[in-house]
Amino acid sequence: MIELLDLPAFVEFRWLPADYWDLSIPVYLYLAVVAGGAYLTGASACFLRSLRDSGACCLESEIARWGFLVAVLSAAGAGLAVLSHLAVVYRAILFPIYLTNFGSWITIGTWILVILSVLAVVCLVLQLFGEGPANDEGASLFPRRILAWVGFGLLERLDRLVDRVRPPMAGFAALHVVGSLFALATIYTGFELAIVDTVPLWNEPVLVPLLFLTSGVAAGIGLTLGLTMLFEREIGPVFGGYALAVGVLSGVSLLLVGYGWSALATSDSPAAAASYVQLTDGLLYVGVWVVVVGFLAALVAGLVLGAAAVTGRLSPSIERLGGPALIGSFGLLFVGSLVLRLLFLLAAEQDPVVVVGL
Amino acid sequence: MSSQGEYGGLTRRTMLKASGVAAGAAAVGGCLSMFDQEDPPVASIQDAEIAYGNCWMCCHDCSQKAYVNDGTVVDITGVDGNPRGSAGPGTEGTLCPKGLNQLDKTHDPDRIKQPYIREDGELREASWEEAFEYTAERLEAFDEEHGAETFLDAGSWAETPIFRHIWRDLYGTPERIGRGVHVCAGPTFVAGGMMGVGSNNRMPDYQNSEYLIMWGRNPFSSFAGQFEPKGILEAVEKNGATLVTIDPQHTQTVQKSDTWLPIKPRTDGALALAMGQVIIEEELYDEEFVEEWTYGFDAYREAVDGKTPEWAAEITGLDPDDIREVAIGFAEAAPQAGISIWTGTAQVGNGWKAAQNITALNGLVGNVDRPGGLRMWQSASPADPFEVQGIDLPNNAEGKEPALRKYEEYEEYPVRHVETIAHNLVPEMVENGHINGIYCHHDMPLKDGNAQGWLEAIEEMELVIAVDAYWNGITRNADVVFADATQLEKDTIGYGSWNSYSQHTWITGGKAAVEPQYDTKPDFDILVGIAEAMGWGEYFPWEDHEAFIDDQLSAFDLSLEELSSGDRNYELIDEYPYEQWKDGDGPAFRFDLDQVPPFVAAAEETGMDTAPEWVPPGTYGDELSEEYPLEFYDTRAVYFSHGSDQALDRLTEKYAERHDLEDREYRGNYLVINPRDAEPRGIETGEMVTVESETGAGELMAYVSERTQPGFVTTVYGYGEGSLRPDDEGMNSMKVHDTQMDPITGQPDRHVAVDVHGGDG
Amino acid sequence: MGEQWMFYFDPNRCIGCDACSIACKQRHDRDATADDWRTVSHLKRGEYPDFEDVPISMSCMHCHDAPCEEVCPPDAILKRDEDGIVTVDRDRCIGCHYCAWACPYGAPTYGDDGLMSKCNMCLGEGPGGGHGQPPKQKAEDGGAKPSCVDNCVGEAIKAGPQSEVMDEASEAAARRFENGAYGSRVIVEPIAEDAEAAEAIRSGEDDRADAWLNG
Repeated sequence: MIELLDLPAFVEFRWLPADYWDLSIPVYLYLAVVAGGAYLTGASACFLRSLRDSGACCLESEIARWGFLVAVLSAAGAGLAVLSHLAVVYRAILFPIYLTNFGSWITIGTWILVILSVLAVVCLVLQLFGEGPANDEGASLFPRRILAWVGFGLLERLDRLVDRVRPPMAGFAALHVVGSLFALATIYTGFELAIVDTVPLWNEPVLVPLLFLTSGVAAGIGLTLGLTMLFEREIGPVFGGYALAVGVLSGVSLLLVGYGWSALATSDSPAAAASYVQLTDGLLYVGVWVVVVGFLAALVAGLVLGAAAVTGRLSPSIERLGGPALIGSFGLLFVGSLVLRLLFLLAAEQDPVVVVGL
Repeated sequence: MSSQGEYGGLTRRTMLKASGVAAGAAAVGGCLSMFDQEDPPVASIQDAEIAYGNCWMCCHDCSQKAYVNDGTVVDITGVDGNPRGSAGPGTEGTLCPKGLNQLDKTHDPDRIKQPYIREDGELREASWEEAFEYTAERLEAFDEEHGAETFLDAGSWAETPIFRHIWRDLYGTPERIGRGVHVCAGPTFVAGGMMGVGSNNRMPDYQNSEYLIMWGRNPFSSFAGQFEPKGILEAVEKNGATLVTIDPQHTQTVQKSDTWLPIKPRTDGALALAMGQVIIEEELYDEEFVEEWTYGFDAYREAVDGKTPEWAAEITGLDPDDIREVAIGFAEAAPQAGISIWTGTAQVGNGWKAAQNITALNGLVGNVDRPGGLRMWQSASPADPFEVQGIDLPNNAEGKEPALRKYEEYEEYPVRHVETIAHNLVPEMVENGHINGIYCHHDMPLKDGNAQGWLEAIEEMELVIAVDAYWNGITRNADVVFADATQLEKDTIGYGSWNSYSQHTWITGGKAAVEPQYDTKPDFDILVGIAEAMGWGEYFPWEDHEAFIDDQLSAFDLSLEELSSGDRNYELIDEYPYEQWKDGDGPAFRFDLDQVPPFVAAAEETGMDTAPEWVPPGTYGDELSEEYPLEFYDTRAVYFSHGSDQALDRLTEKYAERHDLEDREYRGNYLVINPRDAEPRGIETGEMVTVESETGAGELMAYVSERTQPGFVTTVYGYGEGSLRPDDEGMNSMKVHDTQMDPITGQPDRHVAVDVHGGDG
Repeated sequence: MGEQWMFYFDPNRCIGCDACSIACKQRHDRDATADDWRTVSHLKRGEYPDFEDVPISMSCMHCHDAPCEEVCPPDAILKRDEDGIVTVDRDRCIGCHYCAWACPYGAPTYGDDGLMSKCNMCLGEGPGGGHGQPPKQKAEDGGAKPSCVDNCVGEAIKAGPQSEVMDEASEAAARRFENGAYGSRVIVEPIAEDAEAAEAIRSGEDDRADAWLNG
């Protein structure tokens, strides 16, 4: 005989399915911040160039153009990724009409991403066209070559247009400061997750946004730097400074990941425990290592080579290896930082519903 | 996944509007669909007309209310306070998941939409007139060639009694197979009848009870009208009743029970004797009732002598203290204590003794026809419309012996003393040429025991007439198929016995909610059509079924219109008292059946005692062996009744969801197997496995669960070969069955010794 | 501002028959294979014969704090002032699925069109049918009873203005609700044996009783 009263009280959960977002969302969350990081790289390169007052033709110009280009492409990629997920695309495109809830991070984020995109495009155009760039050289000027090939006098017309509207120095500075603020505002991608109370893995309103910002910006700088280095092999103090920044941001990201990991591992919440199990079991576990290796590689390569280059202690033999090493480690960082977001989605578990029990 | 029930992408109600907007939509082209994604237009139930009726999905007459818009049923629900579908006055009337699905069934494009006749070996579409004429010709030829007496009437689920008049009285066949006694619960019905309580041993007076034993029953999932689960919940909540369930499986009834006795299958008879032994030993029985109103108590006392809980514990696998506790609890609560038995203790080789031993406990504690005990339910008595019209029906079956009793081939079957036919023996009778044709009315004998034999017999028969709504093993093999209307397309009347009003007889009914969809007809019209083609039109003067029902209702001074207008469609008729046996002569209850000649004759041949006794499993059925170590049994789920609901997507989806297997394409039945049996066989949930007995095999998907006893595997019946599942999906559970049966009633014994193979492990 | 409507569930009276989820789909004309607005799930534990299988019927709870509404970018989700019912305007929904993450009950579902739909307490019919409807009326005032409530075989589900639902709940369930159990979003009767266990704890002056009543 089973005396049901003898059994301990029934405390059970109902687990909810946690697969509401497809993989386009982590790509969106990632590319938005990469765009921010690349924008910051471009804007800062312009600033450095103005300090040196060395005219158009220099490494800073190359970095600036690559930075704004990466920013534009990443922002566009982020936009396409998020649109591909939505059911009614035209309503998202008409966001000024439809997205009216300014308490929603998706609304806020849409405005941030759109404004950042516009500013990045403006900055890129200003860096690519006009009298200065026309007399400049560098791989990053390839869009000019494309327009020249297309013909119809497009290139010339654009140059003339940009020369006419080119703002004064103060205008540039203001544009870049505002743009940089929006670039930093891509931290919103972290808030999009962090305010979801039902998912303990996400619900860290300081940690997750900060981590998304540092890791994404690091990847954005790293990507810009990597592209530039493909054509400019000399690792000077400017490169060194950026590499150092990537290293520091990767290190901070790694610390944040470590802190978050221990918080997850010691959490009482069943959903956190389920996320932890997922992250330590099977395929996602591999992903965790990809993240760690990516941050670690960028940290070591960025700090060591960056510090050496900044202080001018880079021996020629190391310098030969330095370029590929930095490009490789930034590549790992770029992948790791994306995988970080994929893991945030794939390991997400919603708090189960406590349906009955004590 | 099956796409049945979808209308080529359109849902039911959008279909109504689709034609109207088609032109406009075409003009605007795809632009609209790219941009504004309109919700499908939905007709509001607020504007709908209301039509009442009785639900017939499991044939137990819960009252129903349909909302109809533009000739389409848009919603359906129950009727508050109705006798079968509510817990009584002032309570919510509902429909169960099966009943709700009448809506889908009515508008289901996969229904049989018109009559068919067989021509040159193939079924072809036919007009109604053609089908009636064809049927008459075939029936006349059949009579000449084989004799009408070899035609089997299997009109089980007809919603009109006239099929009996057509086949027995007019066509003149004595062969008749029903569901209740012949395949459902023979021992419960017949033993109960012989012991003096009829088949009321199934249905205690729930609402007034303080102690309820669900013995091999799961009324929270498989009920005969929703008043059952509702009544039990009321008894538990209002009377603080103790609920005990005796079942080898964990069920929803077990979940709600105070006590569960997880008994070994087929050992119920031993448990019942031990309970009787305790009750007598503790002097808790009703001495006065036993003394004055029963017969054969001495034989019973002798039968339980020495059958202690310890003795039964060995057999049943239960704890002796638990047996004692339930016996004492039951006896102390008596007469406000009831036992419910039905199929669980009856579909067993030793089911006769299980029924007799368990039913004896009612007589022992004197709960017979007392509040909260075993109620002697009464039915309302409508008028006989033939009498009302002054029609004198002939009896053309008079003097004809059913084959089971007529021919010496069946002399070895003791069942012939008690019954006129046995389900498992029909294939043999077909082989012998003693049965050559059948009329099947929503009946699906292919799923009910000796399935392989029946599958072959249906093909063998000279004439198969089928009335049904879906294509299945019977309709596909029929010579003529009549497309039956659903309950929502028919006028209905119901007046059964047990219900939520303990002291009232009742009737419920209503007019068709919608016109018969497609080219279908209500069964009354089908039967009258056959009769007219046969030249028996004079016996059926009614204009339609409503006129016939009005004649039935004339006994209560009611018409169908009156019954089903207003805000309800049921009426309580007569009030009747408890202890009705006080008005009768002779004993109210028999422990010993030595004065019942048919049983005495059958018992003698089987070597049974006439009094209760213990008959071990295997005496009349399978014994488990090394080769076949698992006990297989088929069950019901809340989603399906008699194996004819498996065509409905909402139900098969829910059945899949219940097993967390909705993501699989498979929509057949599942084999429930305990992990302790599954692991050594390398079987995991979701894998296809083969169930094999000495005589047959079948394949289905495994569901490994702790809800079933180790050694006991079960599945829901009504699937697989011969069923209405597309491509015979799932397993016909009775393909592993042969002719195992209770020898007294011929009830198929559905416990089969099997082994399970397969899985990917 | 009208009174908040809410659901009540009694697991002791739920027989797990799925009439609620099927009735819901029929009332709202949804396909058999579409996601359920109301689900019946079974919580299982233990080994035979110490096995338990508790059926639980759930849907949108029309939360007083509606987390879905807060995150919805186009304001497609509305927590109505007049009756507290949470509706969705599918002419605004962009299908971002943010509400599903925010919902503690897994209520939002998405069909082939990608738009969100969920229970609207039968305020209207069909996906999005609740949007813009006049205030919810009780059945006695001519309103449609939620289909799940109307068709619950065990009368385990109830719905109505909060004060009325509270009146029908047991004292323990009402106290637990007031003390914030289930986020005060739904009234759930304790399972009988849980209630008795809690009583035992209470009589033994065990401080776990407070924890229980506080959810």
